[in-house]
Amino acid sequence: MEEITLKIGGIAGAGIKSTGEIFAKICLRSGWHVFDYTEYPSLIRGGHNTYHVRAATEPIWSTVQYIHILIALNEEAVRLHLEHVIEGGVVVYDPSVVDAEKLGRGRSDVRFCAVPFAELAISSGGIEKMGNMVSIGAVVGLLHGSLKITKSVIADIFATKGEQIVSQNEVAAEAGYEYVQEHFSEPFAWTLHELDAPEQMLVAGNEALGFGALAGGVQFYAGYPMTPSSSILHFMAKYGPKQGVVVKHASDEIGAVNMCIGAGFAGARAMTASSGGGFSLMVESLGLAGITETPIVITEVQRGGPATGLPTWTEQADLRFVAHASQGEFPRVLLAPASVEECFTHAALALNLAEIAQTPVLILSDKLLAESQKSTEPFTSKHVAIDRGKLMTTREANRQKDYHRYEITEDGISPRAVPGLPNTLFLANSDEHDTYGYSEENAENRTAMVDKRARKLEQIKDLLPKPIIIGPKQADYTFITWGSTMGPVLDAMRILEAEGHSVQMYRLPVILPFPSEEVTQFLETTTQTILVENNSEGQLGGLIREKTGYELDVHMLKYDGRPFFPEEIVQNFLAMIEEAH
Amino acid sequence: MAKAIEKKDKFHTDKSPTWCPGCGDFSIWMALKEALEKLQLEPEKVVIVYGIGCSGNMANYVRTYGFHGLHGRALPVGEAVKMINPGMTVIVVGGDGDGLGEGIGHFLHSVRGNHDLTYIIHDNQVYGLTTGQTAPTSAKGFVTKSTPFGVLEEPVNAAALALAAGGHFVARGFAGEQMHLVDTLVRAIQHPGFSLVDVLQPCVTFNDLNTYAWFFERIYKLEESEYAPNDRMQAMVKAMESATLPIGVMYEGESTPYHLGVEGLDISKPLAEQKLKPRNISTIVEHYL
Repeated sequence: MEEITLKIGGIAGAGIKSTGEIFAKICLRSGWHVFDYTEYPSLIRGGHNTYHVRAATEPIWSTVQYIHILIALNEEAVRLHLEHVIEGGVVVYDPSVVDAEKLGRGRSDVRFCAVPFAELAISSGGIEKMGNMVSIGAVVGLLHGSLKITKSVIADIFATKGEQIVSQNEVAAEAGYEYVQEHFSEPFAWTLHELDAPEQMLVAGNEALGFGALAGGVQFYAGYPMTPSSSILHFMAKYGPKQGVVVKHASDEIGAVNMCIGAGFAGARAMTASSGGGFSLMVESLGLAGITETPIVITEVQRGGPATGLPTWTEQADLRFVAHASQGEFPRVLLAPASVEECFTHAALALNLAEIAQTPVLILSDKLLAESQKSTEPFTSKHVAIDRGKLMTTREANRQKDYHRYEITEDGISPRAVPGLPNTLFLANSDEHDTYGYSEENAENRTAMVDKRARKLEQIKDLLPKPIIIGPKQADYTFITWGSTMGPVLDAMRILEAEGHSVQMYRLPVILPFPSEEVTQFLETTTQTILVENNSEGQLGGLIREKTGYELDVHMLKYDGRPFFPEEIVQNFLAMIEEAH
Repeated sequence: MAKAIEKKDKFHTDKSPTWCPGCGDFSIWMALKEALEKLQLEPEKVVIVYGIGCSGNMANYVRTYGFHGLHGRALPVGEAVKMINPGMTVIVVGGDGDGLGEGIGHFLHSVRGNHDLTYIIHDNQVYGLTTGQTAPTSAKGFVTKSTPFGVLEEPVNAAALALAAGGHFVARGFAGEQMHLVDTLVRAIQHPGFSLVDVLQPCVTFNDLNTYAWFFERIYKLEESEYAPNDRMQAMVKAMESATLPIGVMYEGESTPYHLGVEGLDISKPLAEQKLKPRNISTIVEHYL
């Protein structure tokens, strides 16, 4: 597998993200697989931001620490990241801003390419800000990449800003490209050659969730901004209305979730999203959806907690919280997508499950998954089917003589009417209620209602993705993961397999209802298990112990706000083996 | 006589109210049903969303589509129902503790959004269902179980708040004037956009201060004076009166309800009635290639 990684570092507000995205798209359109990752502090301006693009000739699933090309927009970028530039790598910088060569003394294995970004931007007819395009052009030049593709990406990105801006940016990129051809002709070890590959899209997890929700027929989206969930709201606000979706920036998370419950009660597919803090505010209403049997989808995009925690960093420490949130007992589904592809399919699936089971469905994502872009086959609605469960039609309602909204049924799911239908008046009641919905506290009714609601989950079991095994069927070591940690583990497995280790991965795409039988059966036959989670308590490990009685052998945990890097997993694995001997 | 029985059936359930004898809730309940009758609404075309408390228990006694939600959270539920199905008449019923305590944020945002619903507050200046603690509308100095040394805060004035937040229909009713309340509710429900009806109401069990007699000494009907409810500043003056308490419509102005401004919402075809098929996302995918 050929691979190129590029990191851009500089202060917030310097266009780090857009520059990184342009390079990622150039790689994408050159036919490469891409995974990118951004780090930024919780500041609008200032602070150190980075954007890491990883491109490869084979599918990749994660970000890495090592760097082939470092674009240093300030001296801090050299100080902080030079150690990760690998032998033969290059630092590209503007010598009027950064004295990289001086800072990089002692790294004779690294090339320092001084390119006057600002000067070239101005001399080519643009403005200083277009120095970023010069840097992109320079990098593409060093990699012998395509100037034509570079221009096509620039043209698309700046299309809304008019022809003049497009052409100035193109010329700036060309100036950078030519400058390195002239000044750094010595061949670079890596080239961004064009691959003959099927077309791909580049999408982040949050956007993939938006795509899945749209494909799956979402009709109402209400949300309140909270990092790292906000871009779902932005996506829905941008593309939803044209597709007939009502999108509301609510006054707060409590308003958002209650609006979704109102919309679900009224017969619309409704969805909201937040991060842990905002989800905390939604918790009481989660139970309201449970007892009123109102379909609703809530996505929780985790960041470091508790409280305000680490607003812009990643963590997987809300698993237990989301699994147990709300007082009382009611059925819920908890999905844990691990990739942008799964964000897409799980969002559409969640909307179906919520309506079929008439209960809340939760999707648990995290910052790494939500904000990292990955290349994938373009999404299509072709394989998406909409199943509204026992939702009544007007014709069915017309036949009703004595409608019981909460009829006790064998499968626990009652025929569902919505306001406006004839003959189906009912009360959706947060108090325990009888089959019509009227408040009822008697003991028999209470037991019957709790049991009825609990039976629902049995009905959807077959629709849920099963635990996934990747790698050889029998292996000496099994990594156990959920959510975004799948990516770095998969990439680590590639390295370990190449070195002759027998490894596999077992992943749970559905946390609740917990697949106790399958997990128990699997654990009965495995050898050494290694739990990999971005939290300090090994929350999935605890859940597995609770549901199966099995204690996983090794806990590989990380909770510093950064995702696992594959090379880190490899090191930990090797150290573990070393220790065992 | 036959008509009276038919009337009783239409919005009547077979559940008996659990309110204390003499409670103002009875009169608000009767007035609401009477107003729905007067407007010739069918139960199938009405959604009432309730908060929690004595007022919320009304959920069991009115035969329409109903949603009994959480303490203070009824308004956002009602707002969404109206957006999803604009053909329905949406009414939200709450108490002063419910809507002006935990729900005060939702209240102000619902007013400023001008969501097309009628918000009826059972305003008895005390928490009844939790046995008599202070409410956000309790008078300063009021002694309750939770404030044995007297309330230190100023009471919340719902009408004044609604006016300040840009409300286009602001009214006050009194449970002791049931026919007047019916007329006020009829006007409120007819108003396009958010309409507040703050209903003053005695709690005969836990509030010894704001009794029927106390209210009757102070209230007067705006409709019986020269007052014209078309000036926001004059309405504010009325809302702030404290020695006497005006009831009736304080303000009604031009109003465009929220759902008419929502991009993408086709009001001719409620979302609830639209046939759902997977959407074509290919034009959006193009931006990501």
